Amino acid sequence: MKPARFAYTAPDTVEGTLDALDRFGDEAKVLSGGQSLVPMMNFRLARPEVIVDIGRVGGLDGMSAANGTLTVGARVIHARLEVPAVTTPDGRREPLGGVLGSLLPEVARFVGHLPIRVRGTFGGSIAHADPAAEWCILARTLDAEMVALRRGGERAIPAADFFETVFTTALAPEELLVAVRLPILGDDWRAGFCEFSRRAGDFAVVAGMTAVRLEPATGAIAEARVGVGGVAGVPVRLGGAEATLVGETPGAELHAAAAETAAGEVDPVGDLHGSAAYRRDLVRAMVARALAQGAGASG
Amino acid sequence: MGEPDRPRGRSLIGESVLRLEDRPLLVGEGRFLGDVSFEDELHLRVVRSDVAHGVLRGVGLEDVLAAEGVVAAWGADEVAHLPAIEFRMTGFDELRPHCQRVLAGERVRYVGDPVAVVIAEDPYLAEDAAELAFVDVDPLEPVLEANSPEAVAPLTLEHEHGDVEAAFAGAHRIVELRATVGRHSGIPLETRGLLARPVDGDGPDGNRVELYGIAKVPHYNCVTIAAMLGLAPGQVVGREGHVGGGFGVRGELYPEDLLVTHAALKLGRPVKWVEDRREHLLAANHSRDQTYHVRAAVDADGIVQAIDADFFHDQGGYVRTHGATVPNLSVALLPGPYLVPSYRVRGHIRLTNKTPAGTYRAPGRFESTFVRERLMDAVAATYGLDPAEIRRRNLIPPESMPFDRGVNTLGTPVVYDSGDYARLLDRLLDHLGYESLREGLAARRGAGERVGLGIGMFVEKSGLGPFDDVRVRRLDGGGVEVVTGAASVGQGMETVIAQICAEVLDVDYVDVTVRHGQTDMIGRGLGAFASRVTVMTGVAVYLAATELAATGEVAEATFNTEHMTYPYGAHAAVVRVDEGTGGVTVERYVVAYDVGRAVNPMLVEGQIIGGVAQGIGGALLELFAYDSDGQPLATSFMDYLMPTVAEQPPVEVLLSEDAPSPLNPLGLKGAGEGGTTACGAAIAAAIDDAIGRPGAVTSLPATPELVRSLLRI
Repeated sequence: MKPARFAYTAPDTVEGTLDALDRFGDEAKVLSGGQSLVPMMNFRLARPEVIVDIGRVGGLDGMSAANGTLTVGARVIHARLEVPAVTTPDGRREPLGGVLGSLLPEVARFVGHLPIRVRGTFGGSIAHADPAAEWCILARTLDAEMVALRRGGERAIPAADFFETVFTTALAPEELLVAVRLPILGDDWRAGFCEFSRRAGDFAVVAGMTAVRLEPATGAIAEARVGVGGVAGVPVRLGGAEATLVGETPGAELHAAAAETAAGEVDPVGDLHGSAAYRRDLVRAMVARALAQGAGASG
Repeated sequence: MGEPDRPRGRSLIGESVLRLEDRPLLVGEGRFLGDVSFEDELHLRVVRSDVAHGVLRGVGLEDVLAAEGVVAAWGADEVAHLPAIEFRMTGFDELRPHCQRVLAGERVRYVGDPVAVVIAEDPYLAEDAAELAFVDVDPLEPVLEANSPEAVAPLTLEHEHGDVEAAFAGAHRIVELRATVGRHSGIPLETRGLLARPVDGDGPDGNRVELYGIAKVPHYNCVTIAAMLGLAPGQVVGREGHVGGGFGVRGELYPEDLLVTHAALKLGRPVKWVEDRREHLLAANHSRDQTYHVRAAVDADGIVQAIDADFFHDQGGYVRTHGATVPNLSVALLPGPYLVPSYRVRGHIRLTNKTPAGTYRAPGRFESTFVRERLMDAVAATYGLDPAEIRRRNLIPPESMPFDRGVNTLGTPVVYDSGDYARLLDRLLDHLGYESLREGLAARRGAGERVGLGIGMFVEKSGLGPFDDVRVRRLDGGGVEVVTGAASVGQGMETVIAQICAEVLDVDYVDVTVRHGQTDMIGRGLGAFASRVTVMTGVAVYLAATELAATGEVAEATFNTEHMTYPYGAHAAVVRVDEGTGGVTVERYVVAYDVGRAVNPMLVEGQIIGGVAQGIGGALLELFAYDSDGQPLATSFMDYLMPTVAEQPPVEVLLSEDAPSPLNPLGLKGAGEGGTTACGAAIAAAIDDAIGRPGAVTSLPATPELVRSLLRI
């Protein structure tokens, strides 16, 4: 469990990082918090030729809100999302309120253990693309945009296109993920997140996230998002469950019906921690609980 | 050293004084194997089979030898002159053909089987080079079930006493059970490892080799390594340092110990090997993995008149140093604290293509206690009796002590030396507020929660002899030195031995220095296993110190005993089951345990609380699973799930001293294992209670998927 030989570079700037990535291409791997990459290197499951450590790069650890969008810098550590705060244009830090401000801590507390949360980064988790990772599920469910830079160019990649398969994203070898843009859910949204893992801090066996927008006049669901992780190579959106919800009024019966639909539309593969059938079963429980949590009910 | 945490003038035995061991560990002066280095040292890496079963055609090492930093690499031919590793305990001729050689020669028998070694200038280069070995294996079909007809069947342990046939013929009811305990093991924080350092000697033995990283049984390992390598016994010297946990696993004699020592002698340089975690999960002894079919003949009053048991023990690919110890203990201790006048058992030892198995904390008892207590719960359910009541009716009464169980284990007859089992059960129930607790849980179930209570009882064994030597002398300046052949695996033995010594000599225990695990300081020693040190070394130091007090000179004493002591306990678990996921949360855990006499109650409690953590692991989480090709699936801490502090409930310990052992002058019994023994039993019973299905949980670990499936039936 010692890593294979690798070269190491630690640029000070985004530009220097992009130069390094441009030079080394797919021989390079970006090191952020290292909470997944380093163990994988120690197991020799990952054998990058060159490590490009972005730990000294400034300007990637900010959080700001504008025009209905929260921008999370790639190097924001998980722990900061337990108490999310944004920097205003005049340089003040203020708590992120609203639905997203309440949701992020609910999700963050499931990310690993404290030592992981103070080293591991939001962007690192997204770029690592574990299909059961909390931030990947959140990004997919909320249709986040991943902001990728390369030398001389920038693009925003929608979550639907970003996660390709296990540990594989649409990022090109010469691209650096610098930020993630999340929609700041308005007060007419109700969001919930629920996860089942074998132990506290483990990757989810199955996790589910839901967000529904209510018609102010009727209280009926105008828009619904249901995302789950742990059932495929990427976090998935469940269109059937979303369709079940739209136009209806939230409540235990509707939640159960949507959860049932959700369980029916996943096609998980079993492993040591849960068979396909069990994971399907867990989708039912996690989706129902996320919906109930979002609606402010218990259980 | 600071002031001892005790009022002066009171008896030291029985005081929860602070550990002598803690200071160096807390100030960063611990000296574990990884902290020991010598100039010019080399690093060894083991090349292991990645096939579970196959014919080994050869190991190509050309590329390895050409790699940077490599000093040597060899396969089985190099060590063909070394014999297979013998049994340390419970050997049987029938098992001897299945002992493990230092490197596999013709067959590989599990994923992790050592086939070659690489020795290089640093551990990174050694690992790089080891990847270049070409291990040429023709795969064979692996055997992965102990009860499969393909499993090699060297030995069945059998025992019978009483009149089993008559008991079943006359039974009011026959209660039957099939039960399985999964494969898991001890996972010390410090993995295995060894550093062998050749030393030019001017002593009578001439050149010597010092072994750092040695643990548990230093004398045995040094003498055995010397014999296997053709050296005189004194030429291999154990230098035990700090040891980060033993649990039965760490410190046994393994192929790597021979490989490292051989390499150091051959190359004339210190050679170091530190096992990595993946290796530990693949190659250190596994344990448990027993499958039972048991029947009880019960009379009209719910008294179990006979037990007839049949079990398979999955030994893995080889038989290691423990021989038949684990199934032997299962055979002997299955009847536990109950009368059971007639008993018949067959324990089938089977070889499979998994990691070889050995002992793990409460070996044979965690398994047999799970099965016996599940059986008692089944009897209770059959008769419509309370689980506590059925136990009370069957317990051996105190007036029957000492109680001859009519069976031998570890070469000694099982004679329970003392105990008042019913009194301990009452103590547990009183503490729980049994009736009101049950009512409270029923009320919560009525409100929709899935909560339940389970209890489990057992008899432990401890203080394995046959001897222990201790030498005590006064040092200039007022201190006292104790030299023992016992070992420290982190359990606090230095403190306990110092307390006993200080009590006798009326000195401060912090002024007692306990030297252990240095094989050139004392002629023989049996080490630390089987909850033996407090009893054996403790009594030996008591005898030696008593002599020192009388004579004033250096004193040596030996404590000999033919019999073990038998502590006993009762566990209770309260669990909550998540109906939607099958997840089990242990809300509360209580251990009542009688150790005869507690030298240091704080250390006993620590042993019990740590033991419960490992018991919860075995009951709910830990499992060495294999796929159908014999590939191990739990080879990292992402997949081998040990409980964390989040899974461990607060543990309430009811330490009892009702039944001092009559077999030694201090009344001592051991405390190392009783925290683990009944966890599987109590938690399984609590899950049954929570889901309202008596007898539902018959296999461990009770994974969420398993529990969820029980909820759906």
